[in-house]
Amino acid sequence: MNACILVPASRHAPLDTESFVRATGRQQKAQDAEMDDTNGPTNGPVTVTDSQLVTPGEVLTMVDNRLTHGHCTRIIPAYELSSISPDVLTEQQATPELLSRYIRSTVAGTVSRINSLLTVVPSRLPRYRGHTGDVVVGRIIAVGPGPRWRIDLNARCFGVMRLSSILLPDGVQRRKSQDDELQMRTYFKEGDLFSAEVQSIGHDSMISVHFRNNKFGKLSHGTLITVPPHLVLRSIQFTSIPSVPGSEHNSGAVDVILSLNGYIWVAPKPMEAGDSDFSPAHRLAAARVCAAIRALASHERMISNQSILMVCEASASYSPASLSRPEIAAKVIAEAIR
Amino acid sequence: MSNTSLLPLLSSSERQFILQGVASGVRSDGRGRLDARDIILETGLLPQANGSARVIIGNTDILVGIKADLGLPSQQNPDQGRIHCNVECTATVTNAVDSRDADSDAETLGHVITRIFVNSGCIDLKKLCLIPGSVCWNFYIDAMILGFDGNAADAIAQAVRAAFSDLRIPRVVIDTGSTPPTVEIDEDLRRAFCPVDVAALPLSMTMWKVGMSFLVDPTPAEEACASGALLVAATATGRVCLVQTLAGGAAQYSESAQATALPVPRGESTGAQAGAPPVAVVSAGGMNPHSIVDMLSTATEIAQSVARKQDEALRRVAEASTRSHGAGKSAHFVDQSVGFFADSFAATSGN
Repeated sequence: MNACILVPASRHAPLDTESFVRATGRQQKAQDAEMDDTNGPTNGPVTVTDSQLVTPGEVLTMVDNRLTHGHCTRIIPAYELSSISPDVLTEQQATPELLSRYIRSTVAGTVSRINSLLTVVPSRLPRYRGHTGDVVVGRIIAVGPGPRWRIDLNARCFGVMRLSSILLPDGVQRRKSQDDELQMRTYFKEGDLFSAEVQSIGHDSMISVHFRNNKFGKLSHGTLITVPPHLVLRSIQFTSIPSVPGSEHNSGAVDVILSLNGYIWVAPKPMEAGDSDFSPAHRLAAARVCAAIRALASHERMISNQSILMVCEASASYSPASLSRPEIAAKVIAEAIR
Repeated sequence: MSNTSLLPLLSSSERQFILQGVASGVRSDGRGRLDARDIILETGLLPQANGSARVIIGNTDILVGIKADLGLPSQQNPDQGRIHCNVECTATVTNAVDSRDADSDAETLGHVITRIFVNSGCIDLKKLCLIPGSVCWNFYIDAMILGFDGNAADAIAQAVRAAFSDLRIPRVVIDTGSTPPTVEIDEDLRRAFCPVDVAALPLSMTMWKVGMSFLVDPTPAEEACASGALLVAATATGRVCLVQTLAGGAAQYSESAQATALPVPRGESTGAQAGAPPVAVVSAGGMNPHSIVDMLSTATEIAQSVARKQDEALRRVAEASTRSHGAGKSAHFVDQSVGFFADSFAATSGN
């Protein structure tokens, strides 16, 4: 059985010496208690439980030969976090507490332990990692080399879209010829935005995408908003808001693609297909949706069709532009949650 | 565009959407053409610097520190102090693979700041000279772009002006009796003072030409769509200190055949070079000279009004700090952020 002892979190680095010694002293006692346990932990003296939430700088455990520390952890000698410089450590000060070394988390996330490997899985990722089947919005970075486009998906590296995995403008799925390869820039050129589905993730974490049906394709006339990918709720990705709450009556529908890579596409829905003229009221409705998404993201709230509607409703008495002011955004978000 | 690497890549339909939005008076974030975003101002953040300030506009985040140092005057101007401006980008500002492009953008902005604050003659450099030819004050203005969300030049000018208001340099005792004359620094920082008249410092306002109309305070996407931009630096009293084009390269003074010498709308003007025509504006990105006159007067008015608002904000920060901790510069300004909103200026715009 694994003895699990919760260690008081020493959250804020650098610590002042006094509180540090207090914290580590307690830690030491906990450690001793564990060691005294003759039935003993079989997997080494880990003082955090598996999948426990930790914050940056939090002590995971003492350094132990039986443990390997992996991603998002670091061994930090205690004196590094105190105000005492190691050069001037007098013998009196060099107590075991101060010289002891701990494995600490470098991120906020959950602890994961596989055999002797101790890692922390960060709970928020600045970049999209990719999942097969995800709806994503991306931007063309380059055409080629070869029959493929290089694409930006807010991931750690550029992705790829093969000529063979797109639908041509006529909507037919057919074998692409040499002629099509020569015409690639007429289909998608640098800077173009598209929605697509993740087809696969390569061994080097390069994401390749494809168009599964005619719902996917080039995006036009709208605004791209970048939010942290972990905030986008996994539900229906293609949504449309028929009438945005808080905006003028009959201003028009707004299409939203809640892409799982954090590139959210907001576009006023044309009254007739192919129409690119939008009334100011229609544009303001789209701007309100954009502002709602930005407000949600700045307050670390999950973004879904529902939450956007709630924020739009709560923001009815403010103009879309004023929602960018932090105090108004905070007020509206608080109102929407209630 | 001058700062291409800071700007996003746009598709042609996105560009068209932005242009149509600007033309219809509703921008992508719901603002009108002359609506600026909130400006959040903090001063006294860096204890190591003699003066510092941070300005946040949207996600544009600028940190400016001014460091004062005793040094040699330049050989050309032995009776003047020296001011060095430097703008840098943090590596995470742009996700461009090659950060060298961002560095060159920052360098361009550094030149703009030098023109606004140093070459415009707003700061009396002679006052910064202690012993002509041998000792003078050297000010190092270092601006860091921590985040870019458009309108970097105006934000940096805001931050530099606020940092000047926070600037405190120690008093010095000059002993002219000894040979060579010596300078002794008064270590007592309570007697430190601000050597610069902040009220006389200008603020910049850039008018961006997007499609056929002008706007202020653009987002990066709007900057990417702009065909030209005109930066006007003016003081709270309406003295125009600098006019220059931003987009499409560095300043272009009367070099082009399309250059038009313009009367400055109001107040006196001081070009960087004495004897030069007051201001010569190059028709940038297809702007016609008449629209430039409109832009110039609108921008001057806005810059003036923003300068007045900033003065007010700085006064509030100073008052708050005096109330809580007594006079003098220290880090307790930190929590005193003052937001002011440059709300729909009732400018007599030519739009």
